[in-house]
Amino acid sequence: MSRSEQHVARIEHVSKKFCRNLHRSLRYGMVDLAREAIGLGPTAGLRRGEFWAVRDVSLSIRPGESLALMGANGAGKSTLLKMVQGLIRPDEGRIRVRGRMGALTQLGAGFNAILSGRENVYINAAILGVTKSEVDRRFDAMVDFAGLDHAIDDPVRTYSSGMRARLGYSIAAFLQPDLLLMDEVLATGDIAFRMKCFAHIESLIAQGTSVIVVTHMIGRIAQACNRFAVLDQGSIVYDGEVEEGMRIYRRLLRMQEAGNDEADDEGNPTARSTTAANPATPPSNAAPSNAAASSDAPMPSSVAMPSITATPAAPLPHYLGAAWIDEFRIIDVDGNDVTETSYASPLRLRVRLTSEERLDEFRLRIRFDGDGETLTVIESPRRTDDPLIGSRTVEVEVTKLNLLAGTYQVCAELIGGRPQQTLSERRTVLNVRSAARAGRFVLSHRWIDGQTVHVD
Amino acid sequence: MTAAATEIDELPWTAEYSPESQARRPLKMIVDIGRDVWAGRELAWRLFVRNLSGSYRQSLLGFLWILVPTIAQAASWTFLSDQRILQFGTIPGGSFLAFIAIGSVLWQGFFDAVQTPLKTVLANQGLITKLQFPRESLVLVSLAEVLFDFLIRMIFVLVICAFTGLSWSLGTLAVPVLMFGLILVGLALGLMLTPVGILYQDIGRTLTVLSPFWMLMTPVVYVAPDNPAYRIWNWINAPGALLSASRDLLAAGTTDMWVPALVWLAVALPLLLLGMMWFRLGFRIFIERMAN
Repeated sequence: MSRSEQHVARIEHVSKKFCRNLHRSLRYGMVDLAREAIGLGPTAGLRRGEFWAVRDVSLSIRPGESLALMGANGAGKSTLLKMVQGLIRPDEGRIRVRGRMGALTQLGAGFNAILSGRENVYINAAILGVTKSEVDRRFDAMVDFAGLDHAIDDPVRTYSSGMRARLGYSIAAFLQPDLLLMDEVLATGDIAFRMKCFAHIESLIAQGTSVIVVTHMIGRIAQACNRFAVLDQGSIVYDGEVEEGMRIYRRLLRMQEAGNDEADDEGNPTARSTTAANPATPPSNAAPSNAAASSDAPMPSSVAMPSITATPAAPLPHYLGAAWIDEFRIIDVDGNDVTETSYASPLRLRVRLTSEERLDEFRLRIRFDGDGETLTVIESPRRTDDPLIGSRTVEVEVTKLNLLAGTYQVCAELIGGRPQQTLSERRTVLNVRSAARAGRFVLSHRWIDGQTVHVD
Repeated sequence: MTAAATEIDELPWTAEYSPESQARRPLKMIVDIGRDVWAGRELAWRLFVRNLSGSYRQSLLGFLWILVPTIAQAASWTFLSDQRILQFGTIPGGSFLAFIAIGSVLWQGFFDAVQTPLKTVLANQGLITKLQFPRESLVLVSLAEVLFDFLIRMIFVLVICAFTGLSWSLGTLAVPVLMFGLILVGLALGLMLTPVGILYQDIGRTLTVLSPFWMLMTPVVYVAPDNPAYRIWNWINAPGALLSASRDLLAAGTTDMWVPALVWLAVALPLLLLGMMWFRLGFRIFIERMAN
């Protein structure tokens, strides 16, 4: 059996229970402490006020596998991740891990505000189990990645939260773990750095680092994964392919929303958790065996929502970050795609943008390249009063192209963030039919001496 | 598939987490503690340096703050003695200042050791609930911090006492070992209190209230009275036994507390091991109930 087939993590029938009531929770803590001391371990079943945060979850991760573990808030994904990290112990089941584990869960935990960034790098690295000589070797690369060369000897309390997050990420990311655990950490920091992180994580995945990403948003990282699992109310309801998983997860969210609305109408918020409002939840007895079976060889689990209507899988957006260009088309006045045109035809450039979060300042730049040179650029005004959130379509009308025969690359760029930079770009090709003229473009012109030549 | 799966997982796992109580295999637990103490030594050193360089950076007096409690103690009791507000009997070694100063340094070392584990865990909550690292490094940091403060104070006090005059003997050589024992017993006690102290703040509050009370119950600022009841108490009161013996040997060169001091010294290490086992057991219980 080759080494590459060894699991890096094996999660077997793991459950974890919590208690929301503080006083009861503390009392149970004392009981657990006593039981632990006399060798009994956790109590079986639920005590009053307790609930299963994670229920009978089985998953195995092989080298090179990247798993996106999706779930709404409170689905139990962070709890599961904490158990894999070894922070909290399962109440049932067993977790085994192999190799060095890196966790991008809390960036800059343990930073001391009074000490300098440099001192904190060494401290934080030691917490993560990196020796001093290893840090020495990678120090410059880390600081460079974080973009903090000028500030590394300043006290951390003078750093912005974004700078702290950057430093924290760089330290954690330069660990070169066998298994990387991530928990929606990249929600802080500026968009430009986040995209750098995304690219870095993608390169780790591409290099074959095993990754478990826990998130509630289908974003760029989840897209880059090669396996997808959906967690709902503590149980795995799907484990398999990414596209199918995304469909199921979106469906689940929609159903939960619908369930919430229903519950609100009835004035009974607890209705949300009923199986009627949420058919995605399998009967609790049926789930374990299926989830376990699918853990060895990831394949769509049969548990997953038989009643889902086949919504056509959306084409993969061109992801470059938390904001991106979904679609870039060149169309005619009737809305048909145009790949070939004449120099005089009017055209429309249609760009569909999506942002997972509020993008306060953004603009669109469209560039026409031919023969490796930029011929012209048009840019939308930069607006600060109209943030981008969710999806929107922007159209530009080109009244007259004026380009002569040739093949042109047309590139749409979404520019935003602070500092402003390109967040996403998409290209398309436009052919302009031959017209009997020399040169690259037609100058808009008019003869004055009475022999006006119509250029149109 | 089952056979293949078994084969796949033949190489050892780095870590395994299961609900089984660690107390079922105490020997394995002791081995694990030893392994994690070793694994956590560099981290402990870094945390120690971090706390040290962080804690006095924003201070004019800096490290002098370590000495302030000792000076204040010695000054106030010397004042009470000079003004004859309190009467003290025959002082071993003859110097009242040396007697008080050594006593209060030893007591502070002991009580710091009792309080520090809980404080360290609470101060590093953010770290503990978010990142996995050898938990034993927290014990090492606690010990290092207590020892550091203690040694600084001790050196200061010994320099002072060099002027007031001490009479040493061969027995004085045992003093460092006895003092170390005193701190280890304190640390063991502190570790035992920590798991419950994390769950319920009552422990921390009790310690604050207990501190002056326990100090007055221990012959720190007075000479142990020579009656059977107090003698029995001083034998079973660990800091009393170890503190009296250390101070007598340091100041006068002889002590009548050899037996209880040596007994407590012998108990110190097993006690510390018990404390560390309890701390490790408790850790996985209280971590999930800690506020993040």
